[in-house]
Amino acid sequence: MDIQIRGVQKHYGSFHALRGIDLDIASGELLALLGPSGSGKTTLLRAIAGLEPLDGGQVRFGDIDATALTVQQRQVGFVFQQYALFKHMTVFDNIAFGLTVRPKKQRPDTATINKRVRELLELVQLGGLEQRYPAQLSGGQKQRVALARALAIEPRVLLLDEPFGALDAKVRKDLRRWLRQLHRETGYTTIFVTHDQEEALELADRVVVMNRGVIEQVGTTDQVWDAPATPFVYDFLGTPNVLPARVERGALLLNGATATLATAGAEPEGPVNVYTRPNELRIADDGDAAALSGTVVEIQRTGLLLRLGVQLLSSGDTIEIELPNPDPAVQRWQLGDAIRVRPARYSLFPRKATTAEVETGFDPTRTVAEHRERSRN
Amino acid sequence: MTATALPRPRRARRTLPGLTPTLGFTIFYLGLIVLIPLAGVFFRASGLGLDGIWKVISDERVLAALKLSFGAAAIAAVLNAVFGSIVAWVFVRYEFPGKRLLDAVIDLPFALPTAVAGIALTALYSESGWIGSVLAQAGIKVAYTPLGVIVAMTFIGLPFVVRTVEPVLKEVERDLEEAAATLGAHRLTTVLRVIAPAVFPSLVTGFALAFARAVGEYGSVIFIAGNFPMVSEIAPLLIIIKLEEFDYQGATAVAATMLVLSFLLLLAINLLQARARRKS
Repeated sequence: MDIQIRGVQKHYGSFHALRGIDLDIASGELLALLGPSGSGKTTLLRAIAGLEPLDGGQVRFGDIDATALTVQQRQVGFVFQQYALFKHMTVFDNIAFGLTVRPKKQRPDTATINKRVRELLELVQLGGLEQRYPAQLSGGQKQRVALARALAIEPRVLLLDEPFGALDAKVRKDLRRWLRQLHRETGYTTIFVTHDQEEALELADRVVVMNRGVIEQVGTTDQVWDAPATPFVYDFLGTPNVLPARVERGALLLNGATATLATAGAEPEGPVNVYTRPNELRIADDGDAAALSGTVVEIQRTGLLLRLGVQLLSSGDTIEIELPNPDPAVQRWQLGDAIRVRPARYSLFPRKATTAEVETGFDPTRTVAEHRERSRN
Repeated sequence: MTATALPRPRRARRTLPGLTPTLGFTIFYLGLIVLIPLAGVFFRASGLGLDGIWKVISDERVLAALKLSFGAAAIAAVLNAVFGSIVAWVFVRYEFPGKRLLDAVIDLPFALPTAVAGIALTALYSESGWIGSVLAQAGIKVAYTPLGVIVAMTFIGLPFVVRTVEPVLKEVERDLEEAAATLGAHRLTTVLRVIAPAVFPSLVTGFALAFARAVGEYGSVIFIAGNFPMVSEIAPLLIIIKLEEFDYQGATAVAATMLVLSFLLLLAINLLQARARRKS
């Protein structure tokens, strides 16, 4: 089912958690809400589920105005980070819960429930474990039970709140792949929240990058990676080098350097920041006029990559450059070596006069969950 | 290469050391504080012989007192289980002004000398008291009736339920309730099928403690009960009366009977609880 979100607002006390969110989600899409903690991604997910009453705006499931429905009526499958399994019930009873709590008229008969639970157990690859209690399962198994329980009600949309957050790296990777496959098989519209960019890029069709209660960018994984719309997105996806520069008469001049980089010509005149990722920098020849000179101040080898810290002669800033690890016999960098680099790809963002952004009402020592908790009481 | 035989451990050692001294101390301590005095009761009572004991406890007045003590204690414990859970729920789930103060008030029945509680309750519930006068108009007599016994026992038992249920209820994550809601369960269903089973074992503990305390309660009850034989006379008071008549064997016979009944009931409650707990 497709989902439309229009002008959604949410406050927790004086903390503005969602500042007018507009978003369209296509039927059958696998969408990631990506952002740091406090960005509003979990709040948005909970708003879609109806777990957070809204201060403004609307959520629509297809033709239905979901804002007018209670949590129970919305029929969403919600998977919690900490599983939230009913501990005193067996795996079977957990999965059957959503069917057995239906009013008598809509409740399937026992045989149908049995059949459905068994199908779901097969789907999440936990056949034979139906009589176990949650305490007897591993973390990954628990999360799969939680998913089966959410799927049992044939949800309009499947919502996952940091579904792999509590699992170790290996299990996380397996479950990711498995979820991707499950999504392909079942075709449920799925939205998941994560703060892990790798997880978002690997799993999702489209990624929504959020920051401070607003959407910074929506796009396919390629779009957000290749063309970050804002400095925040650039920063959040990877660790770019930021070089202060200015645009003069259509030419880009890095601060303190004489080298000129070509620009597309569309940039406004004035101070800008050049964003370039470590893997977008290249080693330049001596004859390259646009290259930046520097000194190698750090060498780090991580598997297939060689990472160099280069202190620029022009500004004294240290930038990071990432190279496919070359044959050590051919090229060997040593600390203190002179080096020339040039950005092969980069983006420009106008540099504002640095204003300290003051966030009213947001106490960084408190998590959003605590804000939520406090505003409830 | 010469094979040197490793010295074989004399016996398998437990991974957690200290079982012998701690278990030894536990048994010694229980014996000194609990078992030996209780054995004394049975020893004294045994002087009567089984027939003698049966004669004492089959006396109408004794039977009525035992019935009142255990019956009223059971009713009081049920009342406490219900209302204590509600109080615990309110304390865990809501913030309101004066919460800390009210929290301290809950423990008052623990700290108050029982006689003080008894006098206060009697003053309130007697026909000239604040509550008693209102109830009297409705034709309900509390002081000097079995109802008064139940009131006093409820009063002293409340903290037991609140304090045992509260921490467990705190641990029931809100996630669970939200999960139930997204699956279509309405509030009452969630409380009955998700929250209650999680809290049940601790509720049974609180019930057992409140019940045990109420059975043994003396100070607060005797003031409000009026102590009419066959009507509002509790078994512990009967023991005192027998002692004052120098009927030591009769007193211990009633005491031993109370002991056995209490023990059997608590054992049953413990077994019920073990069954409930095994699941989670």
